[in-house]
Amino acid sequence: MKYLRIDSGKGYFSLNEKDWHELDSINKGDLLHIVSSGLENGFEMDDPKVGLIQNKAHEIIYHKLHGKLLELNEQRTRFRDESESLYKEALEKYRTT
Amino acid sequence: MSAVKKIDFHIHTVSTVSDREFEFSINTLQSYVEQACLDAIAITNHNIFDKEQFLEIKSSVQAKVFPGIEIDVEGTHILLISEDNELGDFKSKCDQISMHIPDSCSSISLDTLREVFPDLSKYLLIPHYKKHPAIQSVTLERLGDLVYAGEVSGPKKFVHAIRDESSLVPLFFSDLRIEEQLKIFPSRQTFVDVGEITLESLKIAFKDRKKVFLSREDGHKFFNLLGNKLTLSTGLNVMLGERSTGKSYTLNLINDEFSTEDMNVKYIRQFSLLQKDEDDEREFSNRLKTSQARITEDYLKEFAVAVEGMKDVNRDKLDKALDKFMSSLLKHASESHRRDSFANAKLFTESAFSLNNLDSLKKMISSVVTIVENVEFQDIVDKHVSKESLRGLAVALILEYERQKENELKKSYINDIIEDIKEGLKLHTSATTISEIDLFDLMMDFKRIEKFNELCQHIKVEREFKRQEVSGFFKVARRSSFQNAKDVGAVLARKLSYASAFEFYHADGYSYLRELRKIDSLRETDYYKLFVKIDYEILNSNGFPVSGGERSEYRLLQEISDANEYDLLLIDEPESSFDNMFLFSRVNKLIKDLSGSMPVVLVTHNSTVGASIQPDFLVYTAREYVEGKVAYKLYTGHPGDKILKSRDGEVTKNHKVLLDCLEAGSEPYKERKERYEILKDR
Repeated sequence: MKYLRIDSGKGYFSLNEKDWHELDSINKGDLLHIVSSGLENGFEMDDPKVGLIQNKAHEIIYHKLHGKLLELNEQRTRFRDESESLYKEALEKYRTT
Repeated sequence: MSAVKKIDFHIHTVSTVSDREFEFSINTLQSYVEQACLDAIAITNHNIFDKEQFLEIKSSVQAKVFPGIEIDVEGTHILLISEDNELGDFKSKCDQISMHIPDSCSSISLDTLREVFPDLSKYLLIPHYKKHPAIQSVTLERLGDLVYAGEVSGPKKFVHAIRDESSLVPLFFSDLRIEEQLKIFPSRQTFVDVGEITLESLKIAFKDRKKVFLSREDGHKFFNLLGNKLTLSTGLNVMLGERSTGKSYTLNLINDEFSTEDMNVKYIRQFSLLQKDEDDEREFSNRLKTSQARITEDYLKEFAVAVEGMKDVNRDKLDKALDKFMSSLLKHASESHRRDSFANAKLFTESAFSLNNLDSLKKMISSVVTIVENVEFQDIVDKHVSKESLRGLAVALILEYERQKENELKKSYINDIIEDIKEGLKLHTSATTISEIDLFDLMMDFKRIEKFNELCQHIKVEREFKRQEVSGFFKVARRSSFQNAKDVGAVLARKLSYASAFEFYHADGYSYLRELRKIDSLRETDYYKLFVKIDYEILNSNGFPVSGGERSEYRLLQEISDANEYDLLLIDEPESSFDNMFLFSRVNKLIKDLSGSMPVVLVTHNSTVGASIQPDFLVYTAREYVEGKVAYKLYTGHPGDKILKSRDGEVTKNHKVLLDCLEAGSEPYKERKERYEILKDR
């Protein structure tokens, strides 16, 4: 799923691939949503090539988030393995369904 | 068995730092040796040998006296007994021991013992074996052939050790403090088949388990008690007698004699298990809960680990970290127009690498190594995977671990450099620094909260998690959610208020845990006990809750079963509280089985218990008046004997005793028999 996009020199984010918002309006709830969803489905983002984003503020936010999400994307398997093993024994023992 | 000698090789005559205070009395020792008919004794004081006193004892008592010492060695006590021909040498060696062990906290190593007594084979060494503080197997191994016999604390342990060929030869001694006040002497001695009483001949005898006994005539089937006035079977003894002939009195005496530091008696007194009042059901339930604490703990073990895993998780902190990151990023971006060369440096906004603790990989390596090293299921493993492949996998995973670990170390090193440079740049710019955040760790903590909440939902759902058959009853364990804060408060003995925390009990597990943390005096290790209510219930054989009478029955069966942990079981008239069917079908078998491994004394008037249980030995109590005073007399014998005998040679007919005590005499017995026959023929 695509979360970050570059268009007409500006950076955009989306939570559903339909509605796109300028990057300087992103808040922590949005980021949390992107991270949670991306860990499940993978992160798709435009590559921030040099000079592509003219808006300086957008460029800074885009680069930072792109770096963070890229790193997280590489750790998705590890995240899934570790989160699946969380309280696994306990859940198996006390599970009711 | 004319060569059988009676010995007590563990006697204290000096009050040392390891003893309670007492004053030695030579008269008491003389009486003890005489009354107990001892052929040989050893003086074994704690870490000391008093030569003068020993010589006084030797010249005053009518038994062979050996010099000895009880030494604190590597967490146990060892009796070291010498021949009495080199007293000077023995004294000087014991003095060295006294110097090494000046107080009750000190002890010496085996090496020091060997330094003081270079030739230990000259002596007789008897460690505390099945007696506190017992010798450790590693110390025993190091002593090798020097030790072949060990001290035990009671007849039960003696019989077990005699039957077990791999055990040391057991010896049972008094461990007495000889003082003026001592009037009743215990019957804790050992009989040994030995001709002449010398240290050498005793050492040879102690190497042969067929040469030591609990009683003079009957080997290990019997033991002495009540100052050698009574001999009982090491199996099942039934005590009979009319009312007020001293049965309970005798049981009390036995209880007193055997309730020592080293021995425990299980004494089930008459009527003690009966339903007492209206609170009986609640008390029964509470007792049940307490006695099943281990099952509760075992059931909640994994949940306790989960609660422990939440220790460092704080949702507020996670929210704040995310907030700080986002606001600093947006602020930094909004200041882009006034950034200087320091803030423009790439490293100023660079994030630290997220570090991997490699736990998954470590677990995998450990699992593969476990399979490779497992011996028990090697056949199954070999059928499916070759050892070679597994070893190859282990090596490959270890190499991968090393590679990743190196990488992580590099990242950590670079993080330090970046941090250092950023700190330098910050000093020269007014631009806002972007706060650090590790999204992986942050998301893992959110996941942890989510999983913990899921777990708490599951565990609160009512479930029966254990059903166990116990002597015809069913012990059922159930979990359920707490209904109110008072229920929560009843879990722990400490009275604390859970009202505020309980408001979050039904919300989610994390919030409830957060509120529990706010209760000052509540220990972290108790949190897990307050999430789910655990109850136990005893059901009868039809699966229904037990009645008052059935509760008493269950208690009796439990008490008898628990007796396994004790050295002696005394039961006083179980028929006072129970019906015959129950006694015959449940109690008799349990008692009979138990008496196969420990001495049991059962007082009864009931033919169902007394006659049907097939005891090993009978004790008949009778009341007599001697010179105007009441005296209780004890007659003993085997169930098949025609007569029962007292110590002073008087006899009584066994058949009459049985009919009088169990059937209320021969006439009523005959009548009852005839009546049953008539009913049967109708």
